[in-house]
Amino acid sequence: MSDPFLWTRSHGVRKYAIAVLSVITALLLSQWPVLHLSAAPVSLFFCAVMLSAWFGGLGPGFLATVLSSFVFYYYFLPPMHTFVAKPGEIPRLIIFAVSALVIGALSAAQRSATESLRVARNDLLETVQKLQKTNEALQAESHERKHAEEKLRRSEAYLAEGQRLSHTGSWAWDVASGEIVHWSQEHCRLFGFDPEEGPGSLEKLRQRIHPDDRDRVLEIWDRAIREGNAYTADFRVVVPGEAMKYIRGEGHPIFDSGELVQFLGTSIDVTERKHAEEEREKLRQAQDDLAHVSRVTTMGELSASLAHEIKQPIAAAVTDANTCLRWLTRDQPDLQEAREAALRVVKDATRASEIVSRVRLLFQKGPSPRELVDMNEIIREMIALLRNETMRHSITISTELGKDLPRAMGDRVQLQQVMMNLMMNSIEAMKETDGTRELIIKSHAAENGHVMVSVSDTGVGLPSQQTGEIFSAFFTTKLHGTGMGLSISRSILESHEGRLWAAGNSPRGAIFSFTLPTQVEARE
Amino acid sequence: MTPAAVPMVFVIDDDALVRTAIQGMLKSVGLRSEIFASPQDFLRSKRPDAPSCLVLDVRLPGVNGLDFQRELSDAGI
Repeated sequence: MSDPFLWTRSHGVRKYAIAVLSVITALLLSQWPVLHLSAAPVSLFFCAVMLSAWFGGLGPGFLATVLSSFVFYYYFLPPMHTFVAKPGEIPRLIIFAVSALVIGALSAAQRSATESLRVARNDLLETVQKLQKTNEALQAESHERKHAEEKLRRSEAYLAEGQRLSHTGSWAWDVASGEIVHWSQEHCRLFGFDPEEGPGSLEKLRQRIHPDDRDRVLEIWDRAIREGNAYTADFRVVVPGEAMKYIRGEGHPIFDSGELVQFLGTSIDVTERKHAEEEREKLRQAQDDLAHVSRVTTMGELSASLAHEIKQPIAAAVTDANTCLRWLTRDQPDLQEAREAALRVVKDATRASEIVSRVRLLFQKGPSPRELVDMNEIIREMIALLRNETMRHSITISTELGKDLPRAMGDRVQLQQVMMNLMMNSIEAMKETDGTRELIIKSHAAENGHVMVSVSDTGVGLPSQQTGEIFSAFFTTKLHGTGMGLSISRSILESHEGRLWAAGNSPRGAIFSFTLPTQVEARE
Repeated sequence: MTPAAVPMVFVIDDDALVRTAIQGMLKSVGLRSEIFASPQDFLRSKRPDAPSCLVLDVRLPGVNGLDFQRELSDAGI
């Protein structure tokens, strides 16, 4: 500290040395003739006492007083420079001594006060510094907390936005109290409650569930709680003045040391998905209907051929039956021959019945179940069915069917329809052409576990300008065509995860090829 | 009667059931017959030089029955 009066107090002998020195100094100054102070030396000694008490405290102050009193008595009270008795001067000496004592005491007290003030100020300063540090730490912490809060707030906002976009609400339900402890804003919105109002009561929630679904959902909930299992429940939510919502609810049990404490869950608005599914179902239904109509139309076109195809084995049966009768009614019945003829009747009738079943299947409406089908079998069946049709137009059919062809998962009738459409197209394309009329059907196992089938003809070929359009609905080059055959064939194959495409044949005609997967299960 | 002198019926029909039925019927009335799936098969076969007749379907694979009959008479068979 720069203030010389606030130098720290001296200790031990040093503070008494200050007393002695200051009294000696006062004496010397009073004796210095230049200052003319020999007549009034009192103030000098008071100064010495004051200084001693200030720097040394009460003890040195007292010492300086005693010393000063002796010096005063010796040097300044007549007769001077002697300690002999000076009874007339005693009162002056006493006044001096008492004054010096008082001054010393005051000075020491003053110093003490100043000192404690200084200590107090230092303490205060220290406290203030400590407070400042604490304050800084608090500020830093508060800043950190604010930062964390900001992050949390932002993350909550993102979560809420994510929930809003995905129409997903979240909730938590306390098992012991039976209270809803968390409802996200989106959850409130889904059930038609004000997001600001927070969790509603379970009863209010129940009221929003469609009456037809309520009991079922409550039972699922009860069972999940009873058994402590996760659950999924689909139900409808009815909010007055709003369109009905389809909700998929999921809940997961939360255990604390083996005890079920809470259920956490989500509710997802699947209304749009539901509608899309319904639309898809309607579309599929329409496609099935269209495929059926197209099939029936094609069968109608084929009716002459089909009739012949059925009549043929029946005619054979009639002939064989007559033959059988003839062998039996001879004078000497030939049972062996009659038996053989009768066996032929059985064979003929069986074939006729097979053809009728096959045709009836094609007339059937609605999707048949997906099953493992052998494409080679389908090809052979359709060749048999269209045999007469090809013959009528002098068309030869040849096949190169792959051996050990993997079976494909599919709708048998629909795949037959595809084969029928492609073959009918080829027959149609060759009807009016001169030269060879050849229909070649090939099948083989292609890569990636696919089966590939191709139908090639020597007909008029693809329309050169509109190759891309042949698969469009209502596109036709035929006089009486509906333009649905290829379009339907393509959608049937696509619903089987397959592909259908066309290419030109050399030197003329067209090749239609398609692939079907055999490994994966086809899409519904 | 030598085998060659026995009258022979040739049957051409692409449908196996039909042609065997016809053959069986011919046998029950005491006629010998030979069956073919196509005119080509018939032409390729060795025909005995005996009185014979041909049962021919109108609709045959690749060729019309009537046209084929015309071809046969043109060829002097």
